[in-house]
Amino acid sequence: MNRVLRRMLRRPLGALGLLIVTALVVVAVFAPQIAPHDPTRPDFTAILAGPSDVYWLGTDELGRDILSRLIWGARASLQAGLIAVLLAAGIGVPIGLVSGYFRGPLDEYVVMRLTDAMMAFPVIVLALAMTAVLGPSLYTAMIAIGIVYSPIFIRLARAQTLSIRETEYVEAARALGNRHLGIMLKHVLPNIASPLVIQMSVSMATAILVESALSFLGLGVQPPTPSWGSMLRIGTNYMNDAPMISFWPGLAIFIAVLGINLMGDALRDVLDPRN
Amino acid sequence: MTDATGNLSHSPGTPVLEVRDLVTEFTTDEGRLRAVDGVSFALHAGQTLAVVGESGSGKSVTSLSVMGLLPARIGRIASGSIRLDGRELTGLPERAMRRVRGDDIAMIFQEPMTSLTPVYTVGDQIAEAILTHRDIGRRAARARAIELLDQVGIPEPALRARAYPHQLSGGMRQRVMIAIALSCDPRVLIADEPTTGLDVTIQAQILDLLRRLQRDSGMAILFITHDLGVVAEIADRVLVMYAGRKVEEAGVEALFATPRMPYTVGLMGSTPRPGASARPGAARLRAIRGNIPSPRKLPPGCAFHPRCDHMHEGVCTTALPPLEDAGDGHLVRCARWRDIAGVPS
Repeated sequence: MNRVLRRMLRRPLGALGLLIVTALVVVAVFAPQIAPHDPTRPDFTAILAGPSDVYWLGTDELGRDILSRLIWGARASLQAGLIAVLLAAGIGVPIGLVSGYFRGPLDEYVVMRLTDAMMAFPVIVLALAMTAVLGPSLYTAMIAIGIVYSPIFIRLARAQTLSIRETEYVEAARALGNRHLGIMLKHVLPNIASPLVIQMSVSMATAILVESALSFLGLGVQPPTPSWGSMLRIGTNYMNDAPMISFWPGLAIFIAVLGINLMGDALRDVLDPRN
Repeated sequence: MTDATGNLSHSPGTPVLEVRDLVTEFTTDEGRLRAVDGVSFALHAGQTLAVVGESGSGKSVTSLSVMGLLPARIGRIASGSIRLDGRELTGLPERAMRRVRGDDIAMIFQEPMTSLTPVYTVGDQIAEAILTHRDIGRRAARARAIELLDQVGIPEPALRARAYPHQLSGGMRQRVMIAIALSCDPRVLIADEPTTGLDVTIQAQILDLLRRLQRDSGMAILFITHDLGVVAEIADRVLVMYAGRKVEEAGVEALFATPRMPYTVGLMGSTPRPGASARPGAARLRAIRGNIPSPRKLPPGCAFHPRCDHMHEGVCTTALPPLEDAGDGHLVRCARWRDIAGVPS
């Protein structure tokens, strides 16, 4: 783990990605300490105000501090990204692993065709349908994104397992009298972990985007809790008078996604056994 | 290496591993095909039986059948019996078979480069193998792993136990594989071309090691190879397979002195022998013409007849010749072995 970290830091873009992600995590975790104002407290004397020494990035339509809302919004976005991806991997990896390990008609005709069907559906539409059923909140958004993203992990875990199950060390493990479950957990899973970790970081970036989109549509985080997506949407109403209300959350989403993607790219290079 | 249960106490009369009329079939898109057809052999404690044949002759399928590791849903033992110390292994439930694998029968493979899991240290992998079958602590297992590494001739075993497979050479890795195979004192070791991927000098070292370990432990070795030079080095008895059938079986000296089956003669003619080419006028290596037939369409009669120099139309092309005893348990499956050898029938 230390070696991976050192090698990532040697790459300028990897180091930048890691820096951005670390900063985001620190901001999200310590939001109550960092935020200069209460993100939900309106200041009716400063509605739609521009940047000032009190409100560094200005205020929104209710006079709430945009910087504080951005800082608190990092929580929703990172949580959504992280939990959605963990859920997706938690559903997808075991299914893909077992399905790819045992093959057979269940793998071929049930698991693969179901993932095909799910992947043929646009992510947002499926997530919309699910939030419509489960009711809008940050948690249903996370669950919806997690379920929608799970076929990617089923596919990836299955494909990797298919190649690992044919290796001689898996045969050797069977010849030693190991159980199938033990072989899957001890011999297959660790050998397919790298691509899965990379996929998780890439998926996390897009999950943040989807969460923002759902919040933008009013199906994610509910007011008055701040989130980048909902801030972006509110900003559209004041595009002519105060375009910066939309600009800041947009920038935050952009930086977060960029940082996670850079980290994922560097992780891919570092974990590639050919390097 | 002899344990208290008396691994060495078996009389030479009862074989450790006895395979009788083994028929292994594979279900493919084009129907069922026989990869192994009626193979029998007996393996005694302390003995090495070499199974020789070209790729596709069924020798590896034979060993997988013994291990119960045929590919699920495709391969199955259609008939025959496999007995370990008199206990029938065919039809044994997977749970019971798992206890046999790695404990009573261990296996080493062709590719030492890829037979070890890349993500664990070799010490952990040996310890893991011990813990699969023995109820001992992790610490004791690790100590035993280092002992085993020492036994298979790895210098500085305590240090090497912490190495990952990619940090070791091919020969070292094969030694680790052997250490894993030996970890539970198996009665039978199946070695599937264990020296094929190694340098000649390393090959000789590995064969020496296997001989020494066999002397110490009394385990029986089923040695699968296509290399007759290796056979001459290590085997007590040799079984020659062709197209899924046993075509010749004899003691190693008898086989090399008087090979009966034209296929065996052909194999010997196509194997380089040290010193042979140095003599003036020495015969060039001769390849056996043609290829091993696909089990999908075996030629009628003797499966070897299309490639055989001694083939007689009507004799070899009609009926499968029986396995005959040519004396002293030298078995041969050839309709014309008497004519070829000049023995009156």
